[in-house]
This record gives sequence, C-alpha cells and structure tokens, in this order.
Amino acid sequence: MKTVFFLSLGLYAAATLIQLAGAFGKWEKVKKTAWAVFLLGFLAHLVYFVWRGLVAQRLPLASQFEFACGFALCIPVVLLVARTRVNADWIATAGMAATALLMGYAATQRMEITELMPALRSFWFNFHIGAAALSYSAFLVAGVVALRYVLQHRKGESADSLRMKQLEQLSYRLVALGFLLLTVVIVIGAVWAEAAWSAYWTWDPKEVWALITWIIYTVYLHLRLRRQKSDLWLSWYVILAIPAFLFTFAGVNKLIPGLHSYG
Amino acid sequence: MKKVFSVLQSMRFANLLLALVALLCGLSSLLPQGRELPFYAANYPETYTLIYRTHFYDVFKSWYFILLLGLLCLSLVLCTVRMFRKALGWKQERERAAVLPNAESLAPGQLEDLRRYMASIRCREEKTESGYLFTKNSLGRWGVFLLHLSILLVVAFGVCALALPKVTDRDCRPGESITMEDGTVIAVDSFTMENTSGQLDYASVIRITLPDGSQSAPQEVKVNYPMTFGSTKVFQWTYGVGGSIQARNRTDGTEQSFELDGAAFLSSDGLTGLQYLGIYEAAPQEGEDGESYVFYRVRVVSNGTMMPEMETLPGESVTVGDWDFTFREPYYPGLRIKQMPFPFANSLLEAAFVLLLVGMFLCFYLQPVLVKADETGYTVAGPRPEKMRTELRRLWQKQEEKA
Repeated sequence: MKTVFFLSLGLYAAATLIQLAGAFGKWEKVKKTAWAVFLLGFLAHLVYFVWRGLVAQRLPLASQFEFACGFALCIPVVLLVARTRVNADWIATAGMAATALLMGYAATQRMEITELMPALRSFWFNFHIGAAALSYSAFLVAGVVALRYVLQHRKGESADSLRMKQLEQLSYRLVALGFLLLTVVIVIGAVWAEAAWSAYWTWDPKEVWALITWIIYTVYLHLRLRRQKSDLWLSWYVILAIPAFLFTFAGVNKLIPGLHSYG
Repeated sequence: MKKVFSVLQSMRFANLLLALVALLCGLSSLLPQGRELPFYAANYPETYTLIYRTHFYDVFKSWYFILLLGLLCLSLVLCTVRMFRKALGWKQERERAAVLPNAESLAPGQLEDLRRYMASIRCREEKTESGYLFTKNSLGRWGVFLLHLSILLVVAFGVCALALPKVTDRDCRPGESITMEDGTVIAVDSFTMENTSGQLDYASVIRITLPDGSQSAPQEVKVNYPMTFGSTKVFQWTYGVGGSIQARNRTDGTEQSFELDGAAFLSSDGLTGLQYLGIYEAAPQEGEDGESYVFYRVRVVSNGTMMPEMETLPGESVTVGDWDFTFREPYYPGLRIKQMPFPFANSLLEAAFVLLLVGMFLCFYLQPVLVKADETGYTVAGPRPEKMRTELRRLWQKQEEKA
C-alpha cells in the first residue's frame, strides 16, 4: 500500500508542475489538467489514509508521518471549499505545492503502523488530533490566500476592488476557522490532559507553542476587528504567522522534548 | 484615572500584553523549565547566574510572567464590561442605523432586488419611517462578550484547578491500601499490565472509602480513565517491579511481608532461611511459541549450607525450616491521588470551556447583520459590516454581468 502513498505524492508533485507551466503560459486547459491530476492525487491519498485507518483500527494520526499525511489531506479539502468562494488559480498553485511538500516531509518520516501506546488510547484522540490537522490546513490556506493578495497588490490592483476584498475576507474567514479549531484542540487537549496527567495545563512545549500560535492569531483578529491596519498589512501578518504553526506542528516534536514526543 | 482605565481597556494595550506573553513563552523554549537548580548549574555554567537572577529556569512562575497575566486579566475584565454594554446597546444601534445616511446608491427597481436578496439570506425585514431595516443574527452580538468573559473564567477556574487540588503519588501492592491524611482509604484489589487482547495497558482495580464511611464499588483505573469518587480522583500513574515475599511461621502462625529492591537473606536465626537473588524476565526464543513471564531467583540456606539456586513463579511457595515463603506478583501500580477542594470542582472549568467555544462560534459564524435601505440607496451598519458590504457588491456585480 506504500505504492498508493507514493502515487499520491507523485500526482501532487506532477499537478504542481503542470499548474506552474499552465500559469506561466496562461494555458487554461493545462491548468484544468493540473487540477484534475491534483484531484486524482487527493483520491489516492484518501484511499491510502482510509486503508491505513482500517489496518490500524484507529484514526491514522498518531505519529509524525501519519499527522503530516492527515494534515496534507486536509489542504485539498480546504482548497475545495476555498474554490467555492474565490476561483483563483494562484491559490490552487500554492495549495498544490504545499500539499506536495507536506507529503514529501511525511515520506521522510517512519512509515510503519505501530500499536497505539496506552497514553494515546483515549476518546479524545480523534477529536484532538483531527481538529489540529484541520486547523493547521486552514491557517496554511489562509496564508496562501494572503500571499495571493500581496501579489495582486504588487501588480497594482486596487485594495478596494471586489476581488481584493473577497481575497482578504477569505483569508480572514480561514483564519477564523483555524482559530476556532485550534481553540477546540487546546480545550480538548486540556480535558484530555486532566484525565491522563491529572492537570489541565502542564506548560509542556507543545502546549506552550499551541498557546503562542493562538496568541499570534488572536492579535490578528483584534487588529482586523478594529481595522487599524490596512488589508495589505494584515495579509503580510497572516503570511508571517505561517512559521508559528509549522513550528508547533513539526519543530516542537523535533527540537524540544516533552510530553507530546510520541514519534 | 480615566486615562489609566482607557489605556487598560484599549485593544492596543491588550495586544501588547499578548505579544509579551507570547514572547516569554517562546523564550521559555530555549531552556528546559522547572528543573532543580543544580541541573542548570551543571549544564549552563556560563549563563547560570543570569538564568538564576532572571528566574529564567521557571518563567511561568516568575513574578514578571504572573504580573503580565494579572494585567491581561485586568484588561480582559474591563473589555468584558465594555462588550457587555455594547451588546446591551443593540436596540439603540438599530435605531441609529435606521436614520443613517445612505452610503451606496440604488438604481430604480434595485430596492426590490435588495429585499429579495435579504429575504433569501433569511434577514428580518422591518418597515421604518424612511424605508426598510434588515436584521439578522442579532444573537451574535453577544459573541464577543461571551468570548472575553469565558476566557476570563477559564483563566480564573484554571488557576484554581492547578493550585487548589492536593496531589500525591503513592505506590501500592495489590491487596494493600493507602490511607490519606484526611482518612480516605484507597484499596488496590489487583493490577494488570495487559488487556484482554494482549495489548500493553496498565490497569488497577481499586476501591475508595471516604472519611465519612461511604465506599465506592471496585472500579478499574487505566491511563486516560481515572476514577472519581466524592472529591477524590485516582489516576493510574506508573508501575513498579520488585520482589514481594510473604513469610508465614508454621509453628506460631505469625506473618511477615517483605518488599525487596535488591538481594536479601530472609532468616530468623541467620543460619537457615531464604536468599532472595532477584526477579528476572524470561522471553521465548526466536521462533518459539509462548509468552514472556517473570520469575524469582532464590536459594535455600540450611544451617549455613547454601543449596543450588532455584527459579520460582509468582504464586508458588517454598518451605524452609519453620517458615513458608510465598512469592507474590512482583508488579505493583503507582497511583496519583488528586483531592479536589469540593466535588465537581473541575466541572466549573469545563463549563467555561464550553462557553468559550459557544462565544467563538457566535463571534465568527453568527455575525449580526444590520442594513438600512430606501428607494435611493442603502447603508450597511452593525459591528462588522465588511462581509455584508462585499456580498452586496458581489450581488450588484452579478446583476451587471447578467445585464
């Protein structure tokens, strides 16, 4: 079944390249082909994810490999939702590249299916990890949309144009979704921590970095609510916030040992 | 004083505090937190003085971090009060919106299109003196208030949940019990390390007797599944392994228990007795069937003469002179006992969590809509009008494209 995983990785990578070629050459048919290849990759990815879940008899999000795989799976889902709002090719290009890169990262991790350790055998496991994967995907796509905004601005498009307003709002809505889900992750994590470790909060590095990410997006939401900063400024903020949640996702596990170091 | 209040409840001040909290949290990752001071002296000899003076070894308990949190809570209280007033003023906001000048103009006939569109997105239409007022999601005005209030409650109850309970870690052999300071007794009936499907799973069956005499039924506690009885919560925390031998004198019936961490000689006269050498695990060879098991390695000593070493399994007995030595299960659980100030103390915090999520949902997904319109134009009012403005612009653009 590893073949299916690598097939989806290959399809994502191919879709990214075709999309880039289509974008440079402004060939609409090529871009449509890229999207079709990307969807095929998503289908293969979904099959692999479901198969892995059936074999493991749990939601396959327990290790770094599985989480990266699940995180990458959520990006096409969020992209599909985003496309119903703004059908901008560039968002798809960056989204495809991000999915391929994440799958590439997953491929460098240990892939074997392991038995869930007792600490992870909990009712809260699926909700906590599933919400985290969706939350990170929403933040990532929000960053991609914000990048599109910045590029359009550089091309000279007015900040008052309908498309720019839509892009900014889509970015905000994705951040709001990611923020809500991150809050769910933190809340469920706290309840789970109380059941497992007897305390709701232990200042474990993963908890600390989830809090940092939460604060970073809280400041964004405050600034946007007050409209004290321009849409361009806010878009840059969303782009620059990407490393924060990426570090919470991968960096903490790799660099700072803690209670969340499960593999 | 007014100026101080104005600063404290400003969003800029809140953002500054949040940024500082995030910065300190980030900096705390540079160093393992909350260890004993000698650890830092040994591992960071060059910067140890700085680490010690700035309390950088435990940032989250430092005076400056607690001060920041205190200021943040103060700011949050003031913001919550402000949001409450704002939410209460919804009626006035509607009245103000009804007399606002138009921000966008409408072509003849477009008012009907607007009314149709507002009906399609389930807005409530009210006829006013000058035109129409469309409203939707008025419940959403409580979102920001609830969100701030719930964060405040989470912090308050969270601090209580971390500080008030009394937490004790205790080991207990199956068949024995632990008596707490207040008289609560926790008895361990059994301890297993595997579940029925052979998976690693630490589980103890325990009973709790409260000081007032009320007793719980036996219940299994596992990792992630603690047992709560009254205000006592028991967690499956760790496990230990060590020799446990019960000695019984056949002549007078006296009994003695020995919990052994290392080799020992169990004898009443120093000449005859049982020499305990240790506990070992036997695993099947590769390709062989069977499961691994633990056994005791012991040696009988009779009048100073050492017999050959022997292996015995838990549950078996050996007789030496007047004494019967019974070998008990070597594994025992380590339990964490959390005594809360009162039953359901955790429920308050969990209720605050629910309120937080409800507030957030109202805030993001039930944003109040307030649109005033007449024959000549319309204006979008309310706390967050951008989304509605863009949607209406999209509507007119679609109409233009169709035309």
